[in-house]
Amino acid sequence: MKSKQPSKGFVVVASKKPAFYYSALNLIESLLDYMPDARVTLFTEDRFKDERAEELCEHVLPCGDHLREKMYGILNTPYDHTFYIDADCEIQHEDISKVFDFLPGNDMVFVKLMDDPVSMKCFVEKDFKGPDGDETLQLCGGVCLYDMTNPLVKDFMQDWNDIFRKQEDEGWVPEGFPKSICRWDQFTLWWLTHKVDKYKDIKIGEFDDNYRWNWFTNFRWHQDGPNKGKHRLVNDHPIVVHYSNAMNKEAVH
Amino acid sequence: MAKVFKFPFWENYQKDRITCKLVRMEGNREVGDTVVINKFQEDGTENPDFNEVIKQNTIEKIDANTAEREERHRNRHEEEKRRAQERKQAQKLEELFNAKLEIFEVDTIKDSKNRKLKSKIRRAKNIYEMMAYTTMLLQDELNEEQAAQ
Repeated sequence: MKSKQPSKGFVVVASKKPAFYYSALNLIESLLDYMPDARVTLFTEDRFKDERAEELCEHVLPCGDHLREKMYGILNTPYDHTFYIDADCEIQHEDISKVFDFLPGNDMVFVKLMDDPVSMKCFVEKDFKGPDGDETLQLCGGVCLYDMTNPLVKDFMQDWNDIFRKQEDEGWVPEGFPKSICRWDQFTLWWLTHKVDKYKDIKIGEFDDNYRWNWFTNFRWHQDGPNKGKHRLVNDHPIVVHYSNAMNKEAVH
Repeated sequence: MAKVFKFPFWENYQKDRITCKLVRMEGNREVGDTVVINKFQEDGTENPDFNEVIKQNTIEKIDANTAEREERHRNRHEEEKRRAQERKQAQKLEELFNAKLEIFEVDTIKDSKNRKLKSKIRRAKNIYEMMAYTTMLLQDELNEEQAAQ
């Protein structure tokens, strides 16, 4: 008997500020430039919606006005296999069409935060002290590929959403951890993968040429040598370019 | 107690002025003040401290310190220049991105179904290319509007 093919699609979330909505539309259009048949679901607030979203996306679903509704969107994906992308990103390479090839053999795939001097300089807070000593954030939440047919992944995403809201709304800080680290959803990821026994066997994969799948503009370009003019930390043109901190979030039209 | 001079380098190419550390002990700790020592004193006589610095460190050592310091400054200047270029390049790209988002919210462009030209705007590598494609798209829309009338 032929097994049912899993549905595959992209999830983008735009909440809180109109600039995220404009950026999300740009991201989706850039994705469709390279993958015209891509299935896309946009989670956004009703007050931002216009007809463009309906034209571009398979689904436009409502979300709240929390600054980080992304975990809600990730959790409520209509697809079996989902690639979530932060709204302030842009697709710049046709290799985006290969993204779902990374999922077989993994439950989730993230971009890893590396310890090289370039990326270390770009992250506001990566290393922190916990009750067991020095710790470091390892997974970047800017993009995330995951398999929702696995119930454990579904539970993981539910916990990511719930625990992060507890951090944000109730100021939850686990004993022995600095308060500052708890403002990041990456810390929630760290917590789930390091401290929650239930998820110890969850298979987290990584992408080839890691940062091509989430290349921050503040990584910058080589200024000299044989790679002059090329993007740093990657071997080829980035697939997902992330304008985190660079986007004019106050843009109002 | 005799004065101790360390880490001297020439202040000028005439080699008649030296900057160095005048070192003294405070308990078990060595502390130094930066001093500038001229070869000649105000009355035109030779400065004994200047000769003492040379005696303690040798001219060859002062030459080497000076060369090493110049190299360090040159490298730092190059590094700063490189970083400034990097910043400028990143800033340009980020400004381009924000400008594109603004352009896509201009009513005529927002409502345009011309995905090909919109894609060209999105992929523009600089502000001039972006403006050129924007003008083309606006012109196309205007032409269509006139043809429809």
